[in-house]
Amino acid sequence: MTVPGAVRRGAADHHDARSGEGGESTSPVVAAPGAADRWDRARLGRYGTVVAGALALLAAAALGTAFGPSSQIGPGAALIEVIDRIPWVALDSGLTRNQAGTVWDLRLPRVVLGALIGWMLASAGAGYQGVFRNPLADPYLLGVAAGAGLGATLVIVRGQVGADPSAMVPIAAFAGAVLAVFITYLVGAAGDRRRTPASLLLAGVAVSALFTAVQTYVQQRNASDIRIVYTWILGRLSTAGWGEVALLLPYVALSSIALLVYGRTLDVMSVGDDEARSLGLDVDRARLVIVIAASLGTAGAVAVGGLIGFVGIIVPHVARLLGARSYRVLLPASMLFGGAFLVLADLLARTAMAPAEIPIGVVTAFCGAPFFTFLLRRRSVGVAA
Amino acid sequence: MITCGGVGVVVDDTTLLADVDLHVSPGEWVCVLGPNGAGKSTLIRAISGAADHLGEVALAGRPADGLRARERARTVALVPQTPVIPAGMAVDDYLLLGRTPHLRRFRTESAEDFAAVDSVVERLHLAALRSRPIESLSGGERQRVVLGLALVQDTPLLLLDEPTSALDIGHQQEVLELVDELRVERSLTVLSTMHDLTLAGQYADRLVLLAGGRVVAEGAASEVLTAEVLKAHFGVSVRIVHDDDGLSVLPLRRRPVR
Repeated sequence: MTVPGAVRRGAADHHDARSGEGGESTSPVVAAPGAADRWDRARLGRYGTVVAGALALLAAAALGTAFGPSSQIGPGAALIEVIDRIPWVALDSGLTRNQAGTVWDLRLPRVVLGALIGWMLASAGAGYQGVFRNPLADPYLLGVAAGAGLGATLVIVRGQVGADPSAMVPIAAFAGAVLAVFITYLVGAAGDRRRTPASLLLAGVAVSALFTAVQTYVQQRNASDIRIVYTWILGRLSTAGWGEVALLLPYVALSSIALLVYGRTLDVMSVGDDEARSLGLDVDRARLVIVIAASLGTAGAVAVGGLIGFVGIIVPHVARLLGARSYRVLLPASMLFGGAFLVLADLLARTAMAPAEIPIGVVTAFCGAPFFTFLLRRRSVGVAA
Repeated sequence: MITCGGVGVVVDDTTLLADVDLHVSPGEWVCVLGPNGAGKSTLIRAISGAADHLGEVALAGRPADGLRARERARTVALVPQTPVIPAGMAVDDYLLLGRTPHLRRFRTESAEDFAAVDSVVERLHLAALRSRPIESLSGGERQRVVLGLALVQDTPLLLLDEPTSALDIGHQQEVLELVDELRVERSLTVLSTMHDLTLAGQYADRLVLLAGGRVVAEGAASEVLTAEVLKAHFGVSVRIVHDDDGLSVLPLRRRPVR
């Protein structure tokens, strides 16, 4: 308090506001009706960000479905075709059987896959940023990217020998990602110390460097496959039907539930490990659960979509800029905005130079990097470091 | 009530704290003094459960080891020396985190929790600040908010680690007066560390002097704050000035011989 009088006056204002709303109570202990309203209003205001995210995702999905390389299918007809599939809705889109199949089996699964991957990477990024109290954390920080890269590269270069390599790549990428995070977690507690955000991040750097070194070596030894490896690393959402969506959905669902349930826990962790412990939180267990949830989901997303960068780091910051402060708001908002962002990025990737496709990782980085620079220049943005 | 029996803390083969016996009676304010590195903060961390320790700690008559994390957090609250202030978090949201040990697992706050925050906001005159980000507050306001978090936690025991270290003399006095009033109002038992010897003597019922991780003196201000004791453990020359308001510790400058 700088001027005692000023603060007292503030307290008096608060009282006035309460009695103005009909509460007679002036007792400081009993919650007056006005005070309860105040909390409700504050909570409603916060969820505005989530509503905005839901609208953004809906709009992005509509755009992604409406536009595609086929000039025979009008944007309106494509949307009507999808709406027609909703139970008890019967609309005639005027599309032929083939065109309807294009919308239903090619465009829509790709939109849904993009939404799922963006949803997953952004919420995992938000979770990592919270758990490490580091605004620069992204979901690849603990070795997911390097592990997945190594796994995918190994399968691609051995592809000629084994069975269908395209079916094996997601599995190998997933296994590599999980293995890398697991090693990071073990190394992060070396020497019987408690795992701290710093020890885990450093372990992640070391493990990533190791896996990347092996991956680069394998890649150099098999130069003929470099193009395929790079295509995978830059990310792509090329789908054939709903297979990838079905593959990814369980991971996203499980991970999302865990992250949402731990929203308040992440808020508590933002006051530091010692203080969170003194508030009765099992910090180590909470960190483990959140890291596992975020890493498994990320590994799933990377396995089907490749290493799409920047979504996991910029989307949570956008949600913060739009007013999400508590992780209880930030997590759902990141999911929705992340889905919307990736669907739009994919729309750009497949239409900007049609019929050729730009790798989606290039699009997200091209949009993400300038924006990220802008964020770094704003000191007000960030989570407690 | 806080009781420590033979409490020690060893980190990386370095003994930070050894064989500390300490007792704080219900409603009492005991202040731990000592030079930098004496183990004051380590003792607070051991009692709050943040540091692994040897020996026994009992909180409100129950062994701390037997308490589950949430029970412990409903028994003892900690105001750390340098609290982490989450970026962009408003005072209201920060204070609400203090209800964590009272919430059922994975539940959200109820009207009772909001009322607990409202009552602390009133008591600490934070009404005008409650929607503001904590980072935007002055040092004195911030210290009241951090104290508020511990009060919202609603515990019988309060640990304060250097509650006034970042404050000017006026705000130091204001915060300590506030702690003393709250101690009486809420029948709190307070254990604090403090650098300012005079202030410690004015506010605490009893002083405990730590040096090299051990208790070297204990008792009323007049027993602990003597020129001989302070010379021995702080290596300073002081004059103790007694007057109607108690005693003051006056550091003396050793003039260099020219």
